[in-house]
Amino acid sequence: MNKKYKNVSDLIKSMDLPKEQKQEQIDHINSRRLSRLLTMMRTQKGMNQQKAAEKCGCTQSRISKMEYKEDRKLTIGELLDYSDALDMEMSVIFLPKKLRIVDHVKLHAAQIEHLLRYLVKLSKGDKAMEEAANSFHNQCMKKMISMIEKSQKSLRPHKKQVLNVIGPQEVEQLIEEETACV
Amino acid sequence: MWELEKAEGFENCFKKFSKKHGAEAMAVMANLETFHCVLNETNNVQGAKLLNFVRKEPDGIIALDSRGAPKERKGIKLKATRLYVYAIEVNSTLYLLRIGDKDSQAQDLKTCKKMVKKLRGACE
Repeated sequence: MNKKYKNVSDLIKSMDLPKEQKQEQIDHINSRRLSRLLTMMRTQKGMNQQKAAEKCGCTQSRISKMEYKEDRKLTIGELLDYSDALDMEMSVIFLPKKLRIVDHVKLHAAQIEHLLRYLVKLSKGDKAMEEAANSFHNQCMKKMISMIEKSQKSLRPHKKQVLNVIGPQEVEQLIEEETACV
Repeated sequence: MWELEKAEGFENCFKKFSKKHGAEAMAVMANLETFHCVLNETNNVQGAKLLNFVRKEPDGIIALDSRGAPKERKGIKLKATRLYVYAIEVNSTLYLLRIGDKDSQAQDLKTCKKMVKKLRGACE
């Protein structure tokens, strides 16, 4: 059975090609991450390019060009038009380079906290809204706890191993005698 | 999660092709990455076949073209390229069969059909 690969870059790395050629191919794949994301979002919505073009108020060929453009060549205007066509909002986030996964989790937690506070602020004074917000807090709490528990349970627990050392019989006897004397 | 696997002889075929047509090979591999990402996201082969660089061939073979590549490179017109793949849903594997241009299309498809027969046999 041949080896299987999780992505095209890994597959290219495995091939017997000149080093520079491999790097050029991987760089080319990485240069189209954003445009690839656009294609993925459109197909997830079950939309073809023609439909997206109609919603965007442009031609199908413009949509096609956006989906093949290198990320550096895509304009903010094009991204805004595209997200409009998919009924989505675009937001830009600037993050420090090499952010750790735990920092990402903390960042999301801070965002959740901020949004919940905003919800409380909005609902204050209105009984129905306050009740709804309260029930939402309960829902959130249950979901978060179960999510974290599930993730923690999937970690492999490391059992502490006890190391037993047994010596030759004479030595064991000697040790026993010595401990008896003490 | 869909995985990729090189079918027998694919690496040699790709090596030869990319030596002559580097830009086309590059574009086709970028399209393969998109196809693979869409498959992973939707887990729907039929849906992924609707991407506009995908062409349906006989026996369930899928051909990815080199759309997105510049039309010319160093004054030389680029060749219309096809990367032939085959998706087996049972083991979520996308097999890379062959790569070629329009001139070798008939022969490539003939070879791919034989490969698909073999792969189907192995999976049954």
